[in-house]
Amino acid sequence: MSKKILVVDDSATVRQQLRVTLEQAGFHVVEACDGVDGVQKVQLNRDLSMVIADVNMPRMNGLEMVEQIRRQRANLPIVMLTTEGQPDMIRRAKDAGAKGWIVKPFKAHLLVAAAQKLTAAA
Amino acid sequence: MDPANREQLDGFLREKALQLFADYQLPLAETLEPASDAFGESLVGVIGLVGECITATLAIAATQQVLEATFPMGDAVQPEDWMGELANQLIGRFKNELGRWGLDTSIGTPVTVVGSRLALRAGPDVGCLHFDSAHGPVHVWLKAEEIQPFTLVADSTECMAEGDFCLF
Repeated sequence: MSKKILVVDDSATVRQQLRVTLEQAGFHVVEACDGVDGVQKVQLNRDLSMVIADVNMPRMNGLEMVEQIRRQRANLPIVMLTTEGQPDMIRRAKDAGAKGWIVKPFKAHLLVAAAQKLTAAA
Repeated sequence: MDPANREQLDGFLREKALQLFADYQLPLAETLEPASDAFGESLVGVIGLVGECITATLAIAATQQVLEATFPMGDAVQPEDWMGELANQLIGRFKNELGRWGLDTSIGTPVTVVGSRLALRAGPDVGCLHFDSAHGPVHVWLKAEEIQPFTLVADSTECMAEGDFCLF
C-alpha cells in the first residue's frame, strides 16, 4: 500500500508541484492549505506517514502547526519546505519537533529520497 | 534612507531576481527603464517585509507567458497563485540576504493583482528594476523605508541557500 504524505502550503501551485513529484514516486498525497487545515487533516488521516509543510502561512504558521501536530502524533515526521534559510528559524523548527528543512525551490530527487527515508522509518 | 543602503538593497534585489528566474530556467537581462511604466495584461505579486530597522513592500510584475515559462509544469500553471509564490520566493531570498548582513526581518503572505495597463509609479522610497526575458518583461519594485538608522555589515552566520536540504 502506498505511503500517505500530507503537503501543507498556502500556494496551490506549490502543492501541485509536490503532489506530482511525490505521486510519481509512488506516494499517496493529501493536501492542506494552511496550518489550521493541516492540523485537521492530520486528525482525519490517521495513516499519514509524513508531513511536508511551509512556514509562512495565513491563519496558523508552520511552526505553530508542528507544535500542535506533535501533541497528537509524537512520531510523525514533519519536514519544513520554505523560503526561510536562517539558523534561528531552523532551530525553532527543530525544537518544535520538525525532522528536516528544505529551502525553496526543492530538488525533486532530494525530496523523494527524504520522503522514502522518513516514511520507511515511520 | 541612506543612499548607500538604498543602493545596496537594490543590488541585493537585482541579484536575487536574476537568481530566482535562473533557477526556474528563464534567464533575465536587466534593461533600462521602459518607455512607459504601464504595460499590457499582466499580473503583479505583492508582499511585505518588516524588521526593527526597515519596512518594505515588494511588487513583481510579469505576463502569463512568463509565468508559464517558469512554472515547472508549464501551462498547468495557475497564474495568480504562481505569481504570488514567485513574489514569496523573491522576498524570501531578499530576507535571507538581509540576514547575512545583520538585518532580521519577517515576511507576510502574498497577494496577486491581475489587470491591464497596471503601473507602479517610481518615488523617493521606491526602487525599480526592469528585465527582459525570452517570454516577456519582468518588473520588480521595492518600496523600502528606514524605521531606524542601520548599517549593513556582513554577518558570518551561515544561512541555508536555496535548494539546500537537511535532516535533523
